[in-house]
Amino acid sequence: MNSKALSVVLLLGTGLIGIIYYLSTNGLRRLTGSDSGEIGADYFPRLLAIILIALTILSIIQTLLEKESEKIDLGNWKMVVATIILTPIYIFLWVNVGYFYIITFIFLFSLIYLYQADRKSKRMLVINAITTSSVLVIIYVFFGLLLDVTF
Amino acid sequence: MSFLDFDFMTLLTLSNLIAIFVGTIVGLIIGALPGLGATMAVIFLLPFTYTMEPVAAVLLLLAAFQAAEYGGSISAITLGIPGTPAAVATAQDGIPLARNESPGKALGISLNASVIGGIVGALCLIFFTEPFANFALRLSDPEFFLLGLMGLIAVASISPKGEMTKSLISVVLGLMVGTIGMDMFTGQPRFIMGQLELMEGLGIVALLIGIFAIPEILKVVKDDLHTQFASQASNLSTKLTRKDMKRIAKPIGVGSSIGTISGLLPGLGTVAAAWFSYIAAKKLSKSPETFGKGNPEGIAAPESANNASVGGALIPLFALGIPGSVGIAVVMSAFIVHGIQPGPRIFTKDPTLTYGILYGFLLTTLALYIIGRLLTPLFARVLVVPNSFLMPIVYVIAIIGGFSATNRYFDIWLSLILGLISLLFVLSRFSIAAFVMAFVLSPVIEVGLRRSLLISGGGYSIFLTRPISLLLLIIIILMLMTPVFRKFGERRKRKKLESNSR
Repeated sequence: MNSKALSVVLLLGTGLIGIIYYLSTNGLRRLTGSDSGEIGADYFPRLLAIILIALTILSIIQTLLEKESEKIDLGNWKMVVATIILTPIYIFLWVNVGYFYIITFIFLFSLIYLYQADRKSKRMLVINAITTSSVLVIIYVFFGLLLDVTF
Repeated sequence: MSFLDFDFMTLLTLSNLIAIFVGTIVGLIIGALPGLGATMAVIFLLPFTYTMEPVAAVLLLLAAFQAAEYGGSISAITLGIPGTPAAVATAQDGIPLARNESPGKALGISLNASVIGGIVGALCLIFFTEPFANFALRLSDPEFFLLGLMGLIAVASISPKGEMTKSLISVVLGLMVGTIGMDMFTGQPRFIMGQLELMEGLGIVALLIGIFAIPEILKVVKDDLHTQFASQASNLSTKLTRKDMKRIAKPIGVGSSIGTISGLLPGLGTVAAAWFSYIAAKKLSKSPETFGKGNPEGIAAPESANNASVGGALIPLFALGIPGSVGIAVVMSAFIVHGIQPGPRIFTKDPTLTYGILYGFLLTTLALYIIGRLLTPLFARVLVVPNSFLMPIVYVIAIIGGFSATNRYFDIWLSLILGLISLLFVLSRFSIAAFVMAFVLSPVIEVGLRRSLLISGGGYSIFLTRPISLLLLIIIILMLMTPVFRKFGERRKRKKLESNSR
């Protein structure tokens, strides 16, 4: 994907947010029964929505007029995608199943395993298990004991 | 109560000292890790501040911020990769000096300069904040609205070339997100989408972790996961001779002055401070030709500047309630968490807390010196831990940190969603810094605007009839015109070059 296309997509999304945000302010006005000239709860948001829409239009024009378009360097995109997929699964299991420490161990171990260049090395697996266990001990001491967080 | 009446025993408590110690160590580690940075260090520690006393909480964050600024130079000198953006200036001479003489000497210069810069910033903070605040007491809502706006436009205007509109969009989005929750005037819920969790607005820790920490970590995963760092982990003693100190005295003076002033001006931040002072030190040096080849002055000037700018950036926070940089905006969120509103009235409302933080900031600098002297070699070795191990650990702790601040599962989901959206915005060069600043300043700006308009009966003339307002308005217009001036300047330069070549 090139930077120009991504910018246009994001700007269209931003413009849409501006429109939805603006329309939502009507509800705020109805609730207080204020008229259009009043400085009510809807005044500042309404102003922001108008500025956002205007800036978005300006930025879309600027982007389209750009002569050059860089290609976005995706780098290790597979690892980013893997992280993005694994994270909601981890949070879902943590919230709905519980067993926070076990699930966090599996999640952290999996991420470290995935991120390694040489996944077959037994030494790496051992280091990974030791590292993950140590981090969990730190989490337990700092968050569980010191901050009294119940996971 | 004046700053001389402060009871130091209220500051020298065990909890405050532990907070400074822990903050310094965490700041050094995170600052030293390439890809993360001083703001990240503050965000990382923010969840821990919820259960702490306000003074200890703020000192923890300030100690981390100060230490991370020095920490950035550790990786710049031993790895050749700056840990913070401000350390890029340090790397110009830090890397050659480490190679030609010893990494320890380069680190010693960096540490001493950082500490002296930090002390200068702290002294300015102690002596100048109250007079500034007394002046600010004469200001009213129109001026506070315009000052807030000026800070945001300043942050947006230092965006990369051609991206100012995107930065302004980031500002507006930050202000919009700041309106979520209960309206301060009418108590009416706004944009909460049926979620009661949003009545008090978006959780600041969850938001910062989402928009700052998650994209930063994913960016390192994308770009630098398997980068092998070769650290120069030998000869790391940071001891300096008297001759070395004498040589760097002048650039430290230059850097500290420029740093403090840069910190005072909203939006400039540590990066600009470091580069301005590097250029100034080069101009004032007896041997400018050796800059970039390992001149100690080239390390001393930017390092003293980036630490002095932290103290400088705290002055507008205490005097006006407007943070001087994004990192300080994150520190400001610790005030918000504890229900404290920084601004000119803080000196009369809560003098013990205020002076505790001001003097405590001086202690954070001393802690940096002691811990930096003792542990720099250790931190230099931490750098060889591969990112493939480090990033998952930081990622998991960031997610858990976001949850621990409020114990709400809603906040974890919020962080994740914001993190993914922000990653796309970062790739498209929107300004996350401008977004954060705007989010933090949203209440100040909205209250200032609405109160001003209520006083004037809805007319905008109130901003033109008050002399200070008018002056601020002119500055804002000039700031917005910067890209146009820049374009004209470039065109004129190009024309001149073309006519010369003919």
